Amino acid sequence: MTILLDLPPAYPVPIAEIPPDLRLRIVGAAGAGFPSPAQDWQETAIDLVELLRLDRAASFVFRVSGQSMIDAGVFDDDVVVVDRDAKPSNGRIVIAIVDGGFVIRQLCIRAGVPTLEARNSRMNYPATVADEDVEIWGVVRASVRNLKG
Amino acid sequence: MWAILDVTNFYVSSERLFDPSLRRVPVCVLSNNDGCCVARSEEAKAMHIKMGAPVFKIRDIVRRHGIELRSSNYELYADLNRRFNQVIAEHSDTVEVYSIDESFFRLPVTATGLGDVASARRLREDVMRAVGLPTRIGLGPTRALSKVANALAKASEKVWGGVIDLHDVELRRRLFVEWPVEEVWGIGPAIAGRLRPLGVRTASDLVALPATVARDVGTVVLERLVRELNGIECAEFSPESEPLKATAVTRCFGEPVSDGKVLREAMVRRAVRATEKIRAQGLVASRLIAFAHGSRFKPNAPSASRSARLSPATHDPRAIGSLAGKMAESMFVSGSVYSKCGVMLEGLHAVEAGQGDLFASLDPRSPPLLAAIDGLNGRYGRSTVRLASEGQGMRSYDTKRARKSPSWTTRLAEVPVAYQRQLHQDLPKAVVKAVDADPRNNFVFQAINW
Repeated sequence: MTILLDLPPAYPVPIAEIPPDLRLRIVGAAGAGFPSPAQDWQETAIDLVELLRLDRAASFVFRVSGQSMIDAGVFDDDVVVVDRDAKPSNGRIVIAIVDGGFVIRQLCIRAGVPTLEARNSRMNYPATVADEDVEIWGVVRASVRNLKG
Repeated sequence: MWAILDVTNFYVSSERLFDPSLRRVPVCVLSNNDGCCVARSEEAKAMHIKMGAPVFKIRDIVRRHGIELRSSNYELYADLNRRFNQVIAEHSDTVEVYSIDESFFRLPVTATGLGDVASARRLREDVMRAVGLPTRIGLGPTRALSKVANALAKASEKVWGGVIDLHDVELRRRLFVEWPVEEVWGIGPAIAGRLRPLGVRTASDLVALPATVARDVGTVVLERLVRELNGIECAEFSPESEPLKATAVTRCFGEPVSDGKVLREAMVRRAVRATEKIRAQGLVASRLIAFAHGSRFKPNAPSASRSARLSPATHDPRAIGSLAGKMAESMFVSGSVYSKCGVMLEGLHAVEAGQGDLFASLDPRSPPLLAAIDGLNGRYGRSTVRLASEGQGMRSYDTKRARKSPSWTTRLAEVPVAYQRQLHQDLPKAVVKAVDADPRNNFVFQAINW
């Protein structure tokens, strides 16, 4: 699953900087005039916490750095949602601890041997055998990308 | 039946979850202002680092053994606390958060009338899988027995596998004989001292103590504890959530303060924080106490306090902040060095229940203003809107958290980073050096802006 977002700046904007053509949503009638006929049908904004299930105890957020997974659709600077409690099975993209650092890789079982493989046909990343020195930290469930760059 | 779960070395385990370099090395987490050790890994305990040891006293051993020190990361611990309690709630319909690293909860007893050890084991596995924290669980027919079971599970984790059930009277008898009375939950040194002349040295002596004797030695609390240890549940024993009567915000300075203006500003900050705390609970205060003092270890250290009635009772940071600032000014002695200051708000009561003041009228514009301030500070971070007298930004007197790890789970700019980096064994040495030298590959303390 990939969700594309164009996030607004996360700080208050001074009134002077609000563009004059900005459209404001009307949330209710202010005494005079007709009450909104949509009032009884009003719903809250779409909740990405719910979509990404960020309120689960086992959902954690990581950021991706680098090009190692671009063929699998995970790009540099993507934000990924990681399930710690999901079973790391063949073909899943995982966060693993290799050499004391977090990496993002695809878990592939090759002839019964679990290996961590990069997905970038233009670069030659070596595969790692997931032996006892390697810890699978969690399984990547979703990726969120900022298209503005 | 009751159960209690506690997280093994909670602060250290939390740090290790997101910083793999801390695994298998000795780690200590430090208190406010990085003053002393408040959590130790097993490796650090084995090096005889004591709980509460001041950092300056263990500096040599820290350097010699390469012990990793971290400031307390309360943002992280609070978030992981929420998460493990969420996992417990999937197993139990009654969860009572007892402290940042322990929670009581209820489980049904098994058909044999014993504790459900299998469920407790599954819960431990679930917490490890979902939140990555090691835990221990004590089970018993009462809260006090589950707490003792938890302490026993802690002391003999290898033998019992982290879960002990004390439903079985015979097992209790066997374990209690060797369990010193001062290690029983709720028995402090004072009560243990009064029990010793009566020949009460172990938990089994305590269990055999007649209720009337227990009441004479301690209070009704000790009597209830003895009953709970005998497997009789006392409803009154539950930690009741009494309404807050007073609140305090007191903090040591990161760097000592010898300037009156600085002392005043620090006092205003504490006062404003205290008003935030009571506003969050819908309370107003009718008395303000402010104090400041110097180091206990230095001769002629200054020490002063002021108090005033707040009439009408209020939770307005403008009123309480400016009064606290004036108190700080009046107690400041030029030439003195201060190490700590704080405020207390007393006589707290609900906003509606307050007695009116005949001579003061409340500004009707205040409630919406304060609600707007709290809303903005809640959404955009503490001190987004503040009093001018609070000053701006970090100060040298602010609590020191020099070794704090990122808020990995609560701030988007600080979430852990998964790298593409190629593996060391596959790369020539020169490349490894270049990879390590690149600050972007320092995964521990990197922050990224979107």
